[in-house]
Amino acid sequence: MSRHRQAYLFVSPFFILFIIFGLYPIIYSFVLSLNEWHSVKVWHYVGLKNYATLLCKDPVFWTSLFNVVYLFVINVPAMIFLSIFIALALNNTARRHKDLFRIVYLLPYVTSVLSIAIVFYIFFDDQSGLVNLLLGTMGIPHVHWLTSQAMSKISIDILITWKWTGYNMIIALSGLQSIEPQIYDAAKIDGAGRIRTFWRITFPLLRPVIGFMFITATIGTFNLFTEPYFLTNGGPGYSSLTLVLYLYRSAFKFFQLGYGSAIAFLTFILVLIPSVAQVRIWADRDRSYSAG
Amino acid sequence: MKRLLMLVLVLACLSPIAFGQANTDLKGTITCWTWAPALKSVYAGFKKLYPNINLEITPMSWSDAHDKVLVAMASGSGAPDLLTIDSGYIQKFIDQGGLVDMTEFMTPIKDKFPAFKVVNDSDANGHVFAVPFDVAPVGFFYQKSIVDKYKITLPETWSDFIALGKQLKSKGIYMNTVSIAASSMDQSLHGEVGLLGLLTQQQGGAWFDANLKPILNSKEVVTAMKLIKEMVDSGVSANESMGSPSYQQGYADGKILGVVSGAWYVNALNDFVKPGASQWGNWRVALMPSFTKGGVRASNLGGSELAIPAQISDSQKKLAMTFIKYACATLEGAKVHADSNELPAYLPAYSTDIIQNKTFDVMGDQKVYKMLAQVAPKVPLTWRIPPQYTQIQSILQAKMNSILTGKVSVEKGLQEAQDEALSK
Repeated sequence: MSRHRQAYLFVSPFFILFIIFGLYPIIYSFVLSLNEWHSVKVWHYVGLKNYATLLCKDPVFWTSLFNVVYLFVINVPAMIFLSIFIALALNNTARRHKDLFRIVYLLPYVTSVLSIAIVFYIFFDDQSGLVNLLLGTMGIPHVHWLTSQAMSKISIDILITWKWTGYNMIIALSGLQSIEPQIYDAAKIDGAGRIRTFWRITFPLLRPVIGFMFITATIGTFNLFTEPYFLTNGGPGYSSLTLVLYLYRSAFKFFQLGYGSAIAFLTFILVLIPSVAQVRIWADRDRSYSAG
Repeated sequence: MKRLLMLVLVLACLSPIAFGQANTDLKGTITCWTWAPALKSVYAGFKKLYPNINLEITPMSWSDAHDKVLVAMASGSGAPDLLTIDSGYIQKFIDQGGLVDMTEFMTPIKDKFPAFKVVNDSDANGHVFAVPFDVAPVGFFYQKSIVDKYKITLPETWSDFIALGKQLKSKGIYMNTVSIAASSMDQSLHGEVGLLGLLTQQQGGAWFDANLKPILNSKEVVTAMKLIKEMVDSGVSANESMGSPSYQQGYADGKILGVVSGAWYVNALNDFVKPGASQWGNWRVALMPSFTKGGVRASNLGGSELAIPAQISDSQKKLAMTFIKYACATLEGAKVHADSNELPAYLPAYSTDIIQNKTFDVMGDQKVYKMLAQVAPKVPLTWRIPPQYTQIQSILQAKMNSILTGKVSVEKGLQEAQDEALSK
């Protein structure tokens, strides 16, 4: 210990800050999730009651979990496919104005979610929204983007896809650029076509990158808050209520801080399962390729 | 000691008013988070009497102003010195034990406020924790030009309302708005859930019984919900979310006749309508329709209170109290308050010019407050707002969408809402 004193000193700022702002709140909120917090001063220990209520007696929690899974299934594969597609197009050395396109695709990512949500809110307006006006000119009847239970999740998906495709595209692009061009040259000499080259070379070598995109997108979807908060505020009904939005409502609107903390911990476990599963899926296959 | 302090405080507050001169002894700065533009105007009047007390206002959205204070109370520090709290949420704050007890201040002047407001601000033991600031008796706000054009007789009962709506529908005009998504509650205009509440209260009903147990399946709630459903099904209400761009456009184009809302809607109108626009000076307010001929035509929607968080220092409390006393319980305060488009809760002002002759440019030459002040004493006193009010609003909001779209019947939907409310 004493021999490495200086080294410990140098790494200590992170750990000090992490303990204060990371570890302490996590432990605190775990303890909180075992309590009912009715007034400013009084905590009432209830054990696992909050968790039991959530899992057995609270249909709203299950609805919000269903919503998140729905958002995930509809959004994530499509978004990642789209971002790889765009990355492939932009990776072509012959294409002109590449930098311009990269910037254009990345712009939604660097724009604040709040301003995007406000613009989409106006676009999706039932009567005077741009989307419905455009559909109207094509003879398609008005769609209740934000005001029907069937469409609210789709609208949120459209917003997320629009915002995050650029970010994933940049990651896919960096993955593509790390693939040695000699491999492609060799394949070309061997007479492989474009599609064959993609499935036999690009896709396997891109696998860890795709894995990374899937895992971050999973975590992102399970923690979705800002987009539905501004666009639909969880409605109509509970049709676009996400787990974190429900957490926020319980803790800060209804002031059930213990219950809110319990939702936070359940969300953590729920996001852990698909994340770990995906790490396994993507990592195992990756190993077999990197060995070769 | 506390009593003495309060006495000194009241005297200190009264002296400048009695002698008509500025009090320069009280010095300091008080902070306030609020959504209400009225506070700024009231402060301008206050400043003339207390030139050395500064009020630092941080403007916030209506929901932020409540949420952030709750968080500050939970963490034990960080709350501002002065709070504006919506009447519907005051019990949540009282329940947290986070507000200064104002019983001693309020006891001698209780009669100077509408009775339902004092009850609204008291806990179960009769302690008062806030001072009523504005009241929001309900009226039917409407556009005069539409009434003149089609020679409309304003509806006396809700069935007249529907009948008139059906006539106007053929001319492409809606009576009011009801968003089927029931999504407009959180934009501080109280939205569909607010409408359900004011219709329930109008019948002398409530969402909670005397023991504060939810009664969302009670007769009055069912009747209120059926009326809203009828507005939607018969097509007399435009399916617009309050405050949205197309909502405002609908009124601007003369496609929507009016809105059933609280007195503060004057403020919303001042926000939506710009001077010079065709709607400017075109708005009026009438009594809301009753459920039965000759029945009650009064209800309440919202309103706000001023309160002080318990966590601030005594010297700050004293300054904040000085402001509250001026803003809520003096004629001078009531005057500047009324000028800023809210109906003050201070009853002694009601018999004076401040209320009787108050007009607003957006509402032409109508003596708006004279009319609404007649409504205030008739508001049924049955309405109860316990701490879990927000949660019940949220349950009703979610259920309303299923009811209005016909997924469940009114009775079944409200029974489900009741079951959900009881399970929490």
